[in-house]
Amino acid sequence: MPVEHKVKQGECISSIAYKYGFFPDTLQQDAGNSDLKSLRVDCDIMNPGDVIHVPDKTPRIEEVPTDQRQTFLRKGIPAYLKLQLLDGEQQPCSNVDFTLSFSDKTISDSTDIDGYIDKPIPPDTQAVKLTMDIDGNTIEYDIPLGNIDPIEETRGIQERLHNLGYDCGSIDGRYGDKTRSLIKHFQHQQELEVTGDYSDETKEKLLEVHGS
Amino acid sequence: MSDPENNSVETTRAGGASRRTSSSQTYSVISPAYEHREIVVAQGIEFQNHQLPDDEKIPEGIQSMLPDLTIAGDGSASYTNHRQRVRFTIRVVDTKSDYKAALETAGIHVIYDGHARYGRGPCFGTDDSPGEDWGNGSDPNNSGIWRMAYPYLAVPVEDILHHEYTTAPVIADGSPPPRAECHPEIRARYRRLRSYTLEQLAPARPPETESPLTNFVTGASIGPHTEFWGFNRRRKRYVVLHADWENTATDPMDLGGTDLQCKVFCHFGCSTFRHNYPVLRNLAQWQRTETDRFAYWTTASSWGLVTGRWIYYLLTYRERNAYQSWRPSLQYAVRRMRRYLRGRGFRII
Repeated sequence: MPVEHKVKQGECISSIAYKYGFFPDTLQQDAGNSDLKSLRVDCDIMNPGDVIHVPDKTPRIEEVPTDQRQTFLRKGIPAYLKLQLLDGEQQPCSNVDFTLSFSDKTISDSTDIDGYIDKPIPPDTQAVKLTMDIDGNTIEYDIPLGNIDPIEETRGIQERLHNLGYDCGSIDGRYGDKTRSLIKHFQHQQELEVTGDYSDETKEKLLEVHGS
Repeated sequence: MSDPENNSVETTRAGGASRRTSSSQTYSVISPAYEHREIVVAQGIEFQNHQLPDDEKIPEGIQSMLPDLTIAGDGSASYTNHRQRVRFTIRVVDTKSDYKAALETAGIHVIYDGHARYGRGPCFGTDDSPGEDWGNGSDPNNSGIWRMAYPYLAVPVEDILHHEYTTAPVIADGSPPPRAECHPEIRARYRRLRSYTLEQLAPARPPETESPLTNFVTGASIGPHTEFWGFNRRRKRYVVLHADWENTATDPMDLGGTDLQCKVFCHFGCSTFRHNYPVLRNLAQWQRTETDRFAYWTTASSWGLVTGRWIYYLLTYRERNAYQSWRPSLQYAVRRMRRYLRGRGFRII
């Protein structure tokens, strides 16, 4: 039976596909999700309450000889953690050593010259801890996964601002005085008209600067 | 956010990131968190921007010293100090209710800039012409005095006549007000307190037939023979008023009716250290802690450039300060203000 899966906070297309045993692309391309696909330009970012159509699995028949041992490999497609690390003045943290911890795994590597990190992670990973040393100071980021809301939502604005170093305090989904004043700071830093309003121009710039 | 012991490990909870498919070309940016600090300047009567010279206006006067300060269309200003890792927002209010709301906002820095009204408290009004805005207010929620005074204080009779506000002097029908509840200025002259009729406080001048104070003294059964406590000082006659800080004539627009949640309380009127410090700290028991409830005052007659300079020094403090006690940056501002004010006859304390 097909399932209409209601997205919860912390879920995304990769984790939902993994849960039901599909590839993310299968769900994205399913005709039952065409409306959602047009609503969410970035399919990796869902809003809680969005509904994803999960189709029935299509059985596949393999004919193999009997009385022999057969090995079947289930294809797994990992999700990826794709980050760009910037310093306080929004310059890339180039070639910085980092450690990425999640579940019971640890990955150590360096950012590239533009501060990018691109690492595979299990699709059901809920959070990662990123640790790096900059100028003798150890900086740790606790990064919850799959809970970035769409950029049209106030929570989505606050989460992106928070990632960019604009401390929203609690991410409460309210466009209150604090969020407004941080938008003013952001507008100033990006040389936009400083109004505190979340204009289309501001949204586009936030999308550009945050990267998603 | 940071480890106050050695300041070497900083843990930040990011806003979040997405799990990406392998073909995705988009990334989430992660950048160090900057603390956000809000400064609210409450401009009192006769100290509003439209009444001030350009270099005293807020935030324009600060911008003249700090060109990177941005002023938005609504008049608020923002500034980011990368050394401190702090983003500042400055906004101006000019009504009693907005002042009260700012004081009740947790974790912000509130500065009153204006007249001290002989210690009665911050006073608001858009129009400086004579009237009730110099007393309890023509619109009690928005103009007039937000009281934070000793229960009893004295003002020159000429202040009442000059500003033409109604008030309630203390009737002399027995002993003087309890000494412990009086402003130090009264205490210093406690033995010289005398009772005066309105005519003695402010004699009628021909063609008037009664004291000009008559129109400005409120209270039932006030007559020509009613006497009030007062004293003489430097050829001026002072009258003792009911002032107070809780359950006052302007309640809840007073210290007792306000749930002070701000982190920093600055009262930059004249001689506020003498007038109001003991009221806030001793009577209202708003005591400082290591990281909260800071308060700053002036020791004598203040002047218009104080607030702009104070904010300028806070904004330009050059040490890392985000998510730590504000105390070092405030102490820096105090030190710089003392240097700046040297020779001007007063200090920030």
